[in-house]
Amino acid sequence: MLKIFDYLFGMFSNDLAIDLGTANTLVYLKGKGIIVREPSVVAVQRMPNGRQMVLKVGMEAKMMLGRTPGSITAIRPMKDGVIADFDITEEMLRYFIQKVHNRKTLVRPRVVICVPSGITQVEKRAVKESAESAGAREVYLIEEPMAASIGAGLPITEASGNMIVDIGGGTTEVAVISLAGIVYAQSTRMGGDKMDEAIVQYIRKKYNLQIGERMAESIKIEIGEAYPGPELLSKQVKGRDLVSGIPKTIEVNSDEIREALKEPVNSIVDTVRICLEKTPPELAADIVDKGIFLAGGGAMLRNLDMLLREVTKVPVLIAENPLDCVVLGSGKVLDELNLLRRVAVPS
Amino acid sequence: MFCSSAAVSCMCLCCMWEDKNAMPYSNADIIVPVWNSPFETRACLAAILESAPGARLIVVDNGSSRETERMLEEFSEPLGDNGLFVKSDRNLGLIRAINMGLSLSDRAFAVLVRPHVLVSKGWLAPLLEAAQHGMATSSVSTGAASGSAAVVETFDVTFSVLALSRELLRQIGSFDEGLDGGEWCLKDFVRRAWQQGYRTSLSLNSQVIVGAETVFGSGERLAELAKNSSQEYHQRWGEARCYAVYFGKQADPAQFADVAGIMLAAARKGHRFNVFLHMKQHQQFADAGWVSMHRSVECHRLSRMFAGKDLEKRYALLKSSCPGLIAVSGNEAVLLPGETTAITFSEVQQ
Repeated sequence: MLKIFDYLFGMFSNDLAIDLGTANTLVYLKGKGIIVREPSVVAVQRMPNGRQMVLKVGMEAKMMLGRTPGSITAIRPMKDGVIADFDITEEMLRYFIQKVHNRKTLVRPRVVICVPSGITQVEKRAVKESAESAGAREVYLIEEPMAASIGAGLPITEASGNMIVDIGGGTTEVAVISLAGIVYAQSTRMGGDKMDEAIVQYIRKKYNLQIGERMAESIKIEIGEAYPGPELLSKQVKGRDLVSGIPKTIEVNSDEIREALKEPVNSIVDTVRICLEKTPPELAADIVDKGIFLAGGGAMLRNLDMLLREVTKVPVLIAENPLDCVVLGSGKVLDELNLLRRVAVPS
Repeated sequence: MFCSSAAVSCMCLCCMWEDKNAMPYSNADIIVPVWNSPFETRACLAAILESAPGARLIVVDNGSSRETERMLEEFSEPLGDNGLFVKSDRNLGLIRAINMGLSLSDRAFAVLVRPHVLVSKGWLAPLLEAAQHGMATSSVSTGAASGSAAVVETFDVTFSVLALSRELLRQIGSFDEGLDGGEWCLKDFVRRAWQQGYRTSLSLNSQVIVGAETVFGSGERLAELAKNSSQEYHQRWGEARCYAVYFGKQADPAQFADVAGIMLAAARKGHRFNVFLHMKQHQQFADAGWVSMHRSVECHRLSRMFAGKDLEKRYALLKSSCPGLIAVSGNEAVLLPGETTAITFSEVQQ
């Protein structure tokens, strides 16, 4: 009986794909494309009994935090690419599902959610249940490297091997894909966030200056690099002197930031190298021919492709739309249910 | 700082701090020593910003975790020069962190606020007024307005909220880091302040909400620390005593003024007085302002009908709760129930 209602409500709902990232959540609506791109942030208030009450989600949460200081604080329910708080994640999913439909009733969509490749059975079930509680009538889980490969336009259903490196905010996933399946995958909890953190620590140690995460991110984007480029870039950085406590501005250059990013970048490079070493030679040969594809925000780090090429001796290409690859790939499979059933993670 | 909000009433931090003309607290530094508890700390800082425009915030991050650091970074961004945020990579302990904050303060008043405290609207003005003559602390919020006395002298202060005048700090320096981080350290500070002629007050109109404070360390270690600190304190300043005073029903009111002066001077050194007064005497004390002259001088009004019985009962209760209680007689012929001797006020003065 309930299935009939689900089917009926499903007719009034739009299928959607959700990339629940550590830093940002993207939602793809079938037939429309990416319609939501908001921070994965939730504004919560600590109640006197110790429980947390969710007030706002996404961009509204970020705006609220800037305006009304108090017992309201920000929580990022995704840490290092995995769900750290399921209750709050459920609230986030509910918010995005309802936002996309512009209403709260008769909303029972089919939802595709992207998950990290190393996810455990328990975590898979928890994600599914969160989404179902948030209003989804059918939930499919698809691993992020798979989604990224589809989004990058790689021929994943063919027998030849494809290698994708998805560098997100919380994690980096390296996977070899063939015949619509992940042949080998390696994941590391090293991504854009840890790069920002490395920059914060470097500047603190060298200049005794405390900078915020947003400043660190802007440094990474403007002058960060993985490999020396033809010109030396520099940037004015605002922070607080740790001894006097007052605001201070200094100048840093790309050589210093490259030094700061050495450890996180090397971690990513090592993960790629290990993945290549463990790949069957037949597939490795395909990868040498076709190249390694980079996706995710971290793929945009200047000269990271050059460094990987240098280390692996394999061509490295950056996907056309690295930031949106994962959600675009998940969105594509909404139109191809047969493919979706092939690539979805069994739960 | 430009506020991009188009709303007529903008609630963002930068706007609250932009209108310097409306900021009456430009003479105060508010020092907050922080160690983790980001939720609670954030609420404390936000309440301070909202209720004390113009006051400069000095936050001493005492080796907090990254989560708390992030929260402080977010908070400090819109403040610019109106906030000092310093960090110690290792936890220095509470007193050292407070002293670090005091060393950075250069305004007329330095106000300490612990993160487990929530200040309320209008807390700072009465506190600063009370601290004019030295230092002052706020009272725990009861929601009720204070009685006739807005400011009462006291010997008991806490680090929860404590306002110190610049002059006082210049004269006596900072807190003794060798003593415990609580009772004896504060008592020593109050005694040093009094030695230089400064008073310690409780501002009844300055009300704050004090949350539960987590005390770290084993009972044994804390007891040992308190014992060592109390020994050090007693070596420097002597023992504090608890007195019970009774004048008798027929006491000459002319003596009260002198007696009040002696009690006040002794209370300022940490001694405690419990004064048993008949109805008329209590009224005389109240009219002269002696009932609320010092928190360590507690006046007990005896019942009109059965004063003798009331005195006996109260004195017995006091004796059981205060070992080492010393009976003081305002009249040689009158003694407290059950006592065969009592000392005089001249002996108290000595």
